[in-house]
Amino acid sequence: MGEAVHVNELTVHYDQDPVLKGVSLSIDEGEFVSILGPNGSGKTTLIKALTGLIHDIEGEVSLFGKPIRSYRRKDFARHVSFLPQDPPTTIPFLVHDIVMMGRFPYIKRFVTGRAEDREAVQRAMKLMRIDHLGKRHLMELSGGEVRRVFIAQAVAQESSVLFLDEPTANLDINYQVEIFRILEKFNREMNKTIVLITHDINHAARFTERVILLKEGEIFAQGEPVEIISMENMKSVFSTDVCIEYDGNNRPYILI
Amino acid sequence: MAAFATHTRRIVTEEKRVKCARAIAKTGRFICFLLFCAASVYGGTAVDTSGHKIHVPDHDFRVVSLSPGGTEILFELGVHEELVGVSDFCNHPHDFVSSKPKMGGFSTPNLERIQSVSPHVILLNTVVPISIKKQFDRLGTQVFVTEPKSFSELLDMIVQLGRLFNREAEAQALITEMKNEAGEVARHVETKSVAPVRTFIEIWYDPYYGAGKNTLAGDIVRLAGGKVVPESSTPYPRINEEILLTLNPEAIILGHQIDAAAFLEIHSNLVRIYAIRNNKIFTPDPDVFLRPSPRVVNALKEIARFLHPEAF
Amino acid sequence: MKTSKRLITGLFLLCLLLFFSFVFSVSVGAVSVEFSHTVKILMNRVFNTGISNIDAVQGDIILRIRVPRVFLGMMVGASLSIAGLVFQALLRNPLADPYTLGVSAGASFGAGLAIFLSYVVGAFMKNFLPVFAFFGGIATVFIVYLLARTRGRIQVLTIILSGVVVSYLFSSGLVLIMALLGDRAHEVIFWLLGSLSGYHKWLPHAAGISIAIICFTFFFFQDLDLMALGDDQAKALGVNTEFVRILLFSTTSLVTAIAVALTGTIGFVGLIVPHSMRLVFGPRHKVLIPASAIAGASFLPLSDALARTLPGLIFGSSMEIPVGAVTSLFGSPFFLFLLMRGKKKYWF
Repeated sequence: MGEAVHVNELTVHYDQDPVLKGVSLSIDEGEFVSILGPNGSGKTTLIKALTGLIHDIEGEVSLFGKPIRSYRRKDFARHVSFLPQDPPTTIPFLVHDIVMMGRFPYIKRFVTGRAEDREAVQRAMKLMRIDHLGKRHLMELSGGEVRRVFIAQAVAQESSVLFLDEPTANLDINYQVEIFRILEKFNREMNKTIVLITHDINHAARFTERVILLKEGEIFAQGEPVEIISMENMKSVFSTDVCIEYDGNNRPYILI
Repeated sequence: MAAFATHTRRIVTEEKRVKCARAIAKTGRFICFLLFCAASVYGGTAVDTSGHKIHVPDHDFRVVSLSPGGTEILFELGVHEELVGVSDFCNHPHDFVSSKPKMGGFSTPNLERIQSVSPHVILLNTVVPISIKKQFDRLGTQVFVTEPKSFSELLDMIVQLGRLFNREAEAQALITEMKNEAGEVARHVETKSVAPVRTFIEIWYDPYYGAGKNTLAGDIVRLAGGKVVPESSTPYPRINEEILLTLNPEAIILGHQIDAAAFLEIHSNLVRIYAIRNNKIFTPDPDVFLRPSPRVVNALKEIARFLHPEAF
Repeated sequence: MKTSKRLITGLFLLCLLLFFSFVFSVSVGAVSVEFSHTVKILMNRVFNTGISNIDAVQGDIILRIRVPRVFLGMMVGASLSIAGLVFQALLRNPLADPYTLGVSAGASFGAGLAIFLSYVVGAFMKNFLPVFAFFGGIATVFIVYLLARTRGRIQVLTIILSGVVVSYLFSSGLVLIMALLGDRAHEVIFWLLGSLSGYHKWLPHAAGISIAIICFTFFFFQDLDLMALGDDQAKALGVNTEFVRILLFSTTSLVTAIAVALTGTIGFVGLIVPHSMRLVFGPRHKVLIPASAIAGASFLPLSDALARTLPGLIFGSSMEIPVGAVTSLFGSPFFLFLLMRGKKKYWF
């Protein structure tokens, strides 16, 4: 398995304040990684730097061995998807249109309506079980359905690396579980590399194989969930006392 | 005896009353007579072109003229010292106006400066906005509107100004001269030419504004042997390109300055008009043509010569 | 996705509307010309079918006065509609119109300056009025762009605010010029009211450029669609948001500046035509771009035809209402009707 993402001494400033300080990490192909940390620790900035959405950075970020700056936009988009924290729900497009937007990296400017694009969209919608919603307006759907639409968009993008910023925030529990299950499937069956930010430590512990814990712009610790999610670390990073139990698979879960 | 006494007393009271009344009446009439004398000795009264009465003392009066035509008339009438302010646009006679303080434009008169010279009357044309006129009313300053709608109204206006400023003889002399010159032109045109020339007086373009027959300009053209088109009672009708094309005037007189190339370009859709095809276009000096002043007879002569070259 | 039959029918109907708009606008005016004459004159011009017994004056009225005016209206209507559409997409703001970046304020200032100079320097300056207006419009966009750049990138809110501020700046400049002009300020007012008469000699060149830009814009329909997702997601999907924004802002500002330079500031069209088309055809720019162009090209000449004839019909006067007043008067109720019908599935 090759290295998907490599970061070396990444530093990002916002008006003189350092948001990320000398972060180095590497993510292999097929890994399922979660990034945890309190608000302001730099999680979103880290993901935006890794997806090329922030230019003003010091240090190196590379994808599959090449610095991301050297990729052309559309090229990069064929490899990497990004699902932001609050996808827009009030835009007037149909579900089918939104998923089709995921094909943009493959569609040349003067050519449209190719069969392969239509098929990719169909496949993605089937996979996410939203094919019956094709002609509906995005605004009519529930929160969970909207997230599924945008994940379908990422699927249609046929990228091998998915970055997600809090994909389960504000969703009902059934949707939360469903989305993690889907991501698990992408990871296990389709070998996609998945990196997600979440506030839900239990979900991260249950589903992901590596946890990166950020504190004040630096990597506090990273490793398997059972190592990282400990009472000392939680006290250090989140300044709170918690009780931790372990389930049958030796995965930690936090009791409040 | 007592009854007789009462009766006599009543008669006497009656007589007294009658005598008193007569005396009062006499005094009253005398006072009126005095006032009348005073009035005729102390100041002139006149009616302006919009029908308002204005009164000004005979001597030591002060007048501000925001009407360039009015300024020229005042000069001719010999009202020199008494003119204490002119508008920015008053430019004739040059030496006369350059010595006078400038009081602003038509819609932007400097009210403070005007007030500071305490004029008895201000000469204005109708371009002045109503809000400014109201200001003058509030300040108690009289306004004489100089907007004659025909040549004869202009002559009347000069007479009224003469009456107002105690220069009646000069006024009469002036209008006699003007009447003679105009009359001569009219005679030439009547005897030696065929028919009135259909003329459009172009005051402005884009959109087109013309001068109708109920304006001084329109009347001058009529006297010069022209027939003003369009036939409208509106003084300055706005006219559509299409209508102008259909009217097909034989001559165009411009009330604004423009060079020949620009004129042709602006009127490029109207080149079919007789006047443009045959280059029967004339631009009199707007200062002479469009002003209610004695020089308007010069414009009359020029326009007559333009419209009826065969008569001169 | 195949553009459905419904959309194609809709576009076809719009084309019919355009044709009707042309014929109607050319047939009405201050002077009444018989419809059969109008048809003959037009046919003769195109196909040389002969006009034996028709007054040459009528020919002039139709061909020299009305047809250029209608063409100008079509060009400006299409330009303003497309500009409004693009601005709404790029700024993600339904209130955006072609003048949001300050083009109209700058162009008005340029025109006012030309009028002022024509009195101070010489009357020939008036010929350059469209040039002044054009560069005034372009200059404001440039200034807004410079102001809105923070750390090498442009943020949407900053652009809108910069546009507002720069508009105020140039508007005050214009007011100052009008005060200096004093009694002659009416010329500026005429220009500001907006009208389709005049300056037809620049029409062929202007039309060529505008049509080219509208076609060019069409090829960015996907980018415009994706901009609705937000800058981050659009970028993540491969849209070069910075480049697209700069490019399309420049081209649409160019087209708007040309329109304003020739006809003054005609409002409402750039705001309402795109929204109406969205309500009818949906949000995809592949359809919206041609639809808005055709709808705008039909709407403005029709409004102008009404502006030319209504005063005559109602008041019996030969006054012309400014075309911008007609577009708002008749456009607003129509738009409200559309809004009431379709507001469920619309924007925001």
